[in-house]
Amino acid sequence: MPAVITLKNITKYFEEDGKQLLILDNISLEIETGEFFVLVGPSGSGKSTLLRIASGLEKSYKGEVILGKDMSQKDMSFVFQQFALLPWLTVFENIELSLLSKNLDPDQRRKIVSGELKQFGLEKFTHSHPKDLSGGMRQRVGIARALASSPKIIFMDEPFSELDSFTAEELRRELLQIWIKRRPTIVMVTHIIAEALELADRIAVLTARPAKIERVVKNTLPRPRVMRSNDFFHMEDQLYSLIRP
Amino acid sequence: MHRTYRHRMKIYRSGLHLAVTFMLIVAPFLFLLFFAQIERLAISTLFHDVFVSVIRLFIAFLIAAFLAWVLAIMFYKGHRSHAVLPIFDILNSFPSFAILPLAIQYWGQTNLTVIFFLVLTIIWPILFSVVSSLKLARHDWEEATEIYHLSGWAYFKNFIWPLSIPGLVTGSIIGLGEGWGALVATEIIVSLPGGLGKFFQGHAENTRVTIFGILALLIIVFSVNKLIWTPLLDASHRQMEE
Repeated sequence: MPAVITLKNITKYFEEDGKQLLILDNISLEIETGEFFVLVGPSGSGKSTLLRIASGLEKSYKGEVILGKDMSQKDMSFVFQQFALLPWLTVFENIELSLLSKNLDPDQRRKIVSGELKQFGLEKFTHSHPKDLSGGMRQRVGIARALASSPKIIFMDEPFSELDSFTAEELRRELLQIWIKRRPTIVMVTHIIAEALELADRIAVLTARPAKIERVVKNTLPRPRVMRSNDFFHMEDQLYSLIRP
Repeated sequence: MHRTYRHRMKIYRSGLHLAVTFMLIVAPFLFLLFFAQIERLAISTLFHDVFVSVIRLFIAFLIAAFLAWVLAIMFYKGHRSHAVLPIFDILNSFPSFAILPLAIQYWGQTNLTVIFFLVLTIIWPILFSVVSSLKLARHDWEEATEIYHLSGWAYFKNFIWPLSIPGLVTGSIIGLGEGWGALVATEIIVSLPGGLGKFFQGHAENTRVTIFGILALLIIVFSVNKLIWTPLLDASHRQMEE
């Protein structure tokens, strides 16, 4: 599989009290087209920063982000931890936001947004504002917005961490179904190992700060994954031991 | 269909609300009539003085609000803000009455002088309110507009404009409050024909007229506040609720 995005020797410092603090230490990764790639690591390890560098949201770093053939910044989407829906826009308008920079007429946009609303069961909330929605519904809007522009790659920054476990589980299942159907490349950050194992094709384990790649593990569990199987527990233990050696 | 919902602000909530609103519109006029009758003032002169002052303030307000809003958008963030915002702060503290005699020398005893001076008074609260409104934008909202490459009109309409409304409204309330005070003072100093300044100066000897005049002014301010600013403030806060 060709790489959709390649990170080469990414190094990032934060300034804290006038001192340079090393956050990301020479990280290199290749994300393949169509794969579900998950970054796991302890809290504060710089996973989100790495995701922001890859997506172009964070611009000050050392190293190189190389986009694959026929890829541009406009082929990227992002799902935010706290949804990042604009409170003054309706659900419809929030989803439409990702299409505004595309060369589409209003009818085409309406058709695409309506399709996403249907896909995510959000039709009756079309004219609602985010404040009228539950957390799960809000993140559905966030994911619908990310998918509406038909991106080649979607970055997800702990998209389920603000949701209760039941809603998170439901949403993970929906996301998997959509991913299998539409096959965008997904790069997701999480600190929950079971979540990574449930979703990912490959898992990069980051060390505590300064983050390095401890290992990239291929998830060999067959899909659909049974979270209570012995193999699942076995891989979960393996990943835990990598994070906490 | 969805277009009708865009940025709709529900201001009037019931029939009673509308009735009170109507009363608020009528009250200042009724009071002015009553005032003219009691003090045997020429109604036309009284209305004319109020009208002229309101127009001066309104023009100054429009200019100040527009300038403040544009400056706030230009300088609220980035490297430029570090250099420019302290300058605005100094200008805000500048004793503007000190340059009023100079303005009179340049432009004479004209409407231009009064309006210029009012703009100087009203602009700063609006500017700083809009800046603080824009700075309250959550970082991930900005990231969302960046990842989806919002620019130009789409960026303005969907992000900058809605985000700046609460500051624009709050700043306008404070700015106009200061504006009313500065208006009367400036009109007296510049001694322009017509306007509330002239009115108060003309009746300086008569305590009752002065008190009634101030009361009339307060009723007008109260009505404008209840009719325009309070509903706008409520609506702008409602739209920012998460």
